[in-house]
Amino acid sequence: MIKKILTGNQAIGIAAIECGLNLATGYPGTPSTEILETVFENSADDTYVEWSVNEKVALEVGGGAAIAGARVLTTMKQVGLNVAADPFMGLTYLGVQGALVIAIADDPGPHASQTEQDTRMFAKYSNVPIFDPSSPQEAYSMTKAAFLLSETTKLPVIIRPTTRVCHGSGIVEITNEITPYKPKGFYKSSKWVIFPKLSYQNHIKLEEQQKEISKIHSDNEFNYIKGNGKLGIATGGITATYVDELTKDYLDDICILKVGNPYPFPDELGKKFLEQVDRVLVLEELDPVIEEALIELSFKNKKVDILGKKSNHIHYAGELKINYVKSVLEDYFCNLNDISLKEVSATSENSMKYRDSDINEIDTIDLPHRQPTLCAGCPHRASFYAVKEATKKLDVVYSGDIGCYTLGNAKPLEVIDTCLCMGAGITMAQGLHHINPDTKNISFIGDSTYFHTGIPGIINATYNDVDMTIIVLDNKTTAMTGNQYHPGIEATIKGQKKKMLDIGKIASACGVEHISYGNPYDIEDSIKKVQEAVNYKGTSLVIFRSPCVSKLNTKSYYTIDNELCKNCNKCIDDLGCPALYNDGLPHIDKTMCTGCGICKFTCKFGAIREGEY
Amino acid sequence: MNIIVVGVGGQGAIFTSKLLTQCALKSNLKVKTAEVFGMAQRGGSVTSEIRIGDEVISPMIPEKSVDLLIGFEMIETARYLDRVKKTGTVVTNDFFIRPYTTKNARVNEKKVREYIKNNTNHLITLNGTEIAKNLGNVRVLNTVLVGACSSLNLLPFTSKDIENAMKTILPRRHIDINLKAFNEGLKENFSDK
Repeated sequence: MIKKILTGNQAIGIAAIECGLNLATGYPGTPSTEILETVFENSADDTYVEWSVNEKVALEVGGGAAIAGARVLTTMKQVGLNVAADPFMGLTYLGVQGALVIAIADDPGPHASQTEQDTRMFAKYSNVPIFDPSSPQEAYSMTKAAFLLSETTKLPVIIRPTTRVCHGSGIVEITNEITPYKPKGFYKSSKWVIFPKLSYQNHIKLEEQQKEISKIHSDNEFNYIKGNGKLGIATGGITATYVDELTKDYLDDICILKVGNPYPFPDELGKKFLEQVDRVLVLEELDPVIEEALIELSFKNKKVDILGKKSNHIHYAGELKINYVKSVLEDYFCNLNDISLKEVSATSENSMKYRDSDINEIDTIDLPHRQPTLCAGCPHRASFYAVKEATKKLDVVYSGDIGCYTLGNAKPLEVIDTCLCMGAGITMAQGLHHINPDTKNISFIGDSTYFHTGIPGIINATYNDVDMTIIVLDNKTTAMTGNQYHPGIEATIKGQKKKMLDIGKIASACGVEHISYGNPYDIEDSIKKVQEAVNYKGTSLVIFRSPCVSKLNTKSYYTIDNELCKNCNKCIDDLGCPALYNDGLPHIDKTMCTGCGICKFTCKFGAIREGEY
Repeated sequence: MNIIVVGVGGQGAIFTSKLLTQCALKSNLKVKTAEVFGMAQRGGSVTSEIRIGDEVISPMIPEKSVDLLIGFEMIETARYLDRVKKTGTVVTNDFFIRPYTTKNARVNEKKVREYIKNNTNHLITLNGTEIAKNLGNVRVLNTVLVGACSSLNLLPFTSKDIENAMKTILPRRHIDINLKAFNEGLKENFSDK
């Protein structure tokens, strides 16, 4: 065993490699992205690794390899599972030959997601066993256990870290030994063809298997009872570490049930826990999965008061922060004779009671909020500015999509009116168009999102003769998640290749007849191209091409001649570029400016010019 | 001990947490960190929590129990000041990064400075950005700040431990400038502040 500092994501990747991983697929998404990157950086050349175009594709490629007997890891974030739901629901009926572990990262908060959906519910829904790690060390051990469980049960298995586990780091003990594995290869059998009759038969088997797996879970190291008291606390995931820390001196009074496998629930262990305690407080983030399982067990076995979300004592939305857990536990410990634990409203801003004497009571101050914003010099800002200028006299709805460019919603650009999920910008605009045909509809989509789920929407628009304009913001990378490859780049994660897919040619093949290309920094030309596209009757498409500014070396900068400047503040008010500020007069922060020069176009007085190094 | 590193996305706060984690590993101490990245990297407010000791269970620091706040930027230092405990220390870079604001919402730097001064029992400020710039790379601000913390004996590691950790985790081409930055931080004379 050796000790290494690993994040939860790295721990999952390393453990998968040590299990003799043959193939890994995934689509980037915060907080899951680094799992696949870790696999790529640390695996041998004969491990096949790909960024797939979307999560459905990733899971199907993974599923194919797994029925050919390979050990497979597929990675995605929780909303990615919605895209992959179709193969996901079926794979558990079909089963695998090798092992298929699906790493799905949940994001309580949410920090960087459009929903707070709980993958543990998906596991229940689909009969897929799930591991819920509370630390990077557990993420490592559970990934190994997940491969073993998948191999022995022939079912796909989920490992579900949450943001705090994914991006938290700690010292992890790893074996540092790879068990090489050679896939047996595909063999032909009717069992790989999912006909209704097979589904029926497999469904019966599947339900039986759940009972067996529940027993396995009752006995493994990830589910356990701790403490000798009668005051019960049930917990899992990152919350378990908060409970552990806060209650470590009270183990004679309390009894903790730690659940590492929320589905199939470790029923035997749960029963034992209920036998020992008088009442239970359930502390878990998002949905009441452990809570519902305990309520069901209590109903069938020993009746115990169970406090949690269902009893309106714990909030559903957001993270359960350590201070919140502390205040709830204090309440729980102090009201032993009744269950009048303070009921919470739907908010996490629970009033906190500190009994600690070491409190630093300080004044308050109003501080400016620091919103995430498009980087200085970002080509999207130029594109948004050009579109806004080109359409300022028109009645327009701008539909956005998922990526850095969702930040175009913020002031002062305000060019994103709708945003739902990957690929929905192009399609929602069509619905808007059918109801408000006199309004112009413009959709923005990034290059990676275009390949992910943008293309069917384009086909739908041309097929149904929708008058709309699609603006592709092509920065040649998947920027928001940290620059991953996609089919529009001359490379894969494995290295360079000659061919890339041309976004315009694909649109043309999908029936778009008005297609133009522009350099967003050439504002005048960009405005013209947008106007032409918007005036065109039918589905039109403009591709604004310029690499992500994070990948460019800055060669120049712009400066404001304060003699010519009339302090109208238009440069700042139009663009919201972080390099521009006003301390009485507008200035450009030379260290942040990338020399993109779009601010020059906003100045009527010619006060902004290129500086010299 | 509980350390929180605060700054603005892109300033390099996350490296500080990597460096201290490496030191802890080599010193046979337990360590856990918690960070949030992703969207916040685009100029948002970033924090990194680091817990080091003989026993570390939760990666998240309970409220008002931070022993050391390392601030990369004054507004962010002010924002997280209430997490520091009474006996805790604040080491901050005296530097402002203006959030994007329209002309009506400017930052009163003097007020922020005063607020930090009036609400901290142990405060050390330094012009880390200037020191880093003079060394030729504003990105070494993180090692300047770690150097300052080390010179004040605020960390459970020797300066040698920290230098060795830098040599282990930094790409070779960045080692020299970071060692210099660390030593500049170490050399800072805080007696007159």
